[in-house]
Amino acid sequence: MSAVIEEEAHHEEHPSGIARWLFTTNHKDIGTLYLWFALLMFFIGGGMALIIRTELFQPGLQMTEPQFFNSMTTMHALVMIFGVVMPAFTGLANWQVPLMVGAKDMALPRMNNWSFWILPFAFAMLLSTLFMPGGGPAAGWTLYPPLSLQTGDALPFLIFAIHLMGISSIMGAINVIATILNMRAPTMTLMKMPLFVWTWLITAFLLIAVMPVLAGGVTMLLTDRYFGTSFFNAAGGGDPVMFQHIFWFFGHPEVYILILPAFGIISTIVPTFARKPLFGYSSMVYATASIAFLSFIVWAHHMFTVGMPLAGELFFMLTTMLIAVPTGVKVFNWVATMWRGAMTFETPMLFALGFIIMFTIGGFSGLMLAITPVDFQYHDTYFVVAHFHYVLVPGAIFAIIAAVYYWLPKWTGHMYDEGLGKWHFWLSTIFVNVTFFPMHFLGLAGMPRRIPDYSLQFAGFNEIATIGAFGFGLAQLIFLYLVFKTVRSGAHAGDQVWEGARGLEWTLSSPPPYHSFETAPEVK
Amino acid sequence: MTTMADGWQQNTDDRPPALRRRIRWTVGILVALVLAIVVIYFVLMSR
Repeated sequence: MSAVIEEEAHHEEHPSGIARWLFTTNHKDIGTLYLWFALLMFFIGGGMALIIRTELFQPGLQMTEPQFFNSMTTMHALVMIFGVVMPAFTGLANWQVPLMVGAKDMALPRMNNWSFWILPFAFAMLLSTLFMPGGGPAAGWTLYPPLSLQTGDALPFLIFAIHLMGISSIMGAINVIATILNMRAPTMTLMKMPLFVWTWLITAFLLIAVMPVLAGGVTMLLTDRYFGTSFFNAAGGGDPVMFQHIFWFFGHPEVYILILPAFGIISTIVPTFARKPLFGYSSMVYATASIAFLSFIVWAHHMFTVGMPLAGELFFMLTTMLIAVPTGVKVFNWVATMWRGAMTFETPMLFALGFIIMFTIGGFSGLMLAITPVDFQYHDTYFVVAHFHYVLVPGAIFAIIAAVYYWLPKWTGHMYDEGLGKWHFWLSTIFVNVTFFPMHFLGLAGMPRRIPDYSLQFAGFNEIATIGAFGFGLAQLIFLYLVFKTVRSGAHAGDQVWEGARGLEWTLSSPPPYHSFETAPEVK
Repeated sequence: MTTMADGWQQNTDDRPPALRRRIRWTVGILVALVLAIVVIYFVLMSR
């Protein structure tokens, strides 16, 4: 008996300070590291966005050199995609997947530590390029040659950083798949898994399929620049448009890597606060798988204007529009879940509702962009910027924030400040629309993206967008304060934090024990 | 210095052999998948 107690105490004790975080193989510690890293990067990437918006407050050059402005648009995208949304979802997966499937930890805990600790080095290297001769990368996050090949000393560092991020993502994806397929509680069949686990399983396969393609593409950029090859150099018999095909074969599934886990989060939160089971569980699973499949056959809709055969344009237009079907199934199911539910509107639910409405706005503008002849007009305008920011900010970012509010009481054992949470939601929602909605009008009027200066007629909407961006940025300070406050103190959260919540994580204490499920739980 | 083998770390040695085998197979197949994608990529690019 005493040996058992001693053994348990041994497992619960862990080093404090830096050693705990450097050497940890615990899924909760690594999840926490990912989430703090994503939050730090969110403010760094957000700072870059505010530099962009300050420059665009008025026409003419205000405070940045055009080269630095281009660096800011490029780095903002790279930081937000690879440094914020992907690590935040991986952090949520680390925390939640073992808890939701009834496992003790991830299947590969040591590799898990490595997956995370690659990231700070990758991003330190990426951000250091801003101080190199020739400045940081400035060709856009899509890295199209020949422009990207004119980058200064930053290019090899950028490419190596992308390789490191890819290695980290692939290792994380293998870990998630190995955990879900092998570590589930014995009675948890695949079709009993929570939707968040399902969406992450599919996302992990997407990651494995496309990250090597990005790695191959950027390696070819490297050899074109330093080893005399001509993959993308027309003068040497290469084809710059081939890079665009390679990039978007990675890039479009990447878009779904950034949103599928968000669908899982919303499918978890909406039933909790509607106090009803999710409507159409199996159709949600099949819709997610369909979206993942379709994401591989739509890539050229990003490059309609390069000039491709009519059959190609038709194919990519129709497959892109087809994605609206499974996405529509999802939105319908969320609304049907709420229909006649006993709904309450705590902060996670507010962010989930904001997601459903505003992500759908982004989806509709995506459908407009899918129409080939229409895209000829919208391509490379602020309409595209408005579209993908609606999908990614009130889409992916709102879902991540909703997930943090939803599970933070479980993680910390403390209830967050509901009043502050509501302030955070309303200010974020108002300002995100003030920022991005006018960009639709700017794009329709013909304002090109990725420029530091613009014609006088665009001034009004740009002023509004800049004011909105600063409002949105300031509103996120509430979130930072609230997270710190909840980690340190707050009313005790019970084990079953939310009355309507279902799932194995709520059977554990708040905060959960250091090693989650020592014995496999029973799933009904 | 704290090492990976210390008790506070997740101990994977107490897993049943069948589970260890399944995890190894899963990881092996997934790594093979990644390598296959890389090979297909370079075959396509070298045409």
